[in-house]
Amino acid sequence: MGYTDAAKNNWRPWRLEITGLVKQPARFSLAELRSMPSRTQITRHDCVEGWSAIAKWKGVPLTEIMQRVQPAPEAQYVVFYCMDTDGSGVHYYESIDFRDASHPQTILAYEMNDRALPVDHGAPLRLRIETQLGYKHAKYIRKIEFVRSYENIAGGKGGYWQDHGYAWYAGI
Amino acid sequence: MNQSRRHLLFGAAQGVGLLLLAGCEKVFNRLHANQKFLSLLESAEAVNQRVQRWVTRKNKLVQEFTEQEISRYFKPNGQPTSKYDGLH
Repeated sequence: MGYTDAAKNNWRPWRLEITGLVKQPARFSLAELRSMPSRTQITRHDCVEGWSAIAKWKGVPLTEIMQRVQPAPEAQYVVFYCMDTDGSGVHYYESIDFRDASHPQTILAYEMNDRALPVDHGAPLRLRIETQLGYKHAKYIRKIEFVRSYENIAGGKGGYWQDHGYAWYAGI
Repeated sequence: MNQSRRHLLFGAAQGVGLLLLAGCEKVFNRLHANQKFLSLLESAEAVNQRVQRWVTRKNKLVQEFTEQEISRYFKPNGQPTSKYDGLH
């Protein structure tokens, strides 16, 4: 089933796959993610282009997922794989380290401004990593992988934008 | 200063500006092709990360805002031609 069909079915067919260096790989439905402890935060999104916007986000803290899947000691990074592609058909992806993954404001958001996350903003699930610039906030997430290194993933720089010259660390 | 001299100076300033821009682009292209310079930039990124994390307490919360401060418009940034490659 494609993205549009899944959206029309309220994301019932969609699953978030958690894989890689974890003791308990998992697949969570959107309903399961919504049933987990959540965090709501009104934060500012700062884009590398120079604009900013404030929105209210609700989602499951990434630490909740980590507690359930139990990353292995050798895992160093969390990689987010996205369903959307660029004009050439290359999938977006992004990665963060454990310090940012463990940050209390790092959440997998499924609501924006008290409504289900819109398609334009990455439905059904997007990353909010409030300590970094907007291009790190992966949208349309389908899979999360815990890895020792991102060097063997795609262009090897830790993210789509990084493979195209952006800095991996975009702290603000 | 009369008008013709003003125009002449303005035109000269524009010309110099364009020359500088053209020169900057050449310099930029040379630097971008220089592996040592790129390595220097990458090392600067690592320094930036370490410094920021050193001065920022771990798990320090970023500023949060009130409902009244929510932006009326939030640009849905991304590739206008992005497509969704199905589900896995």
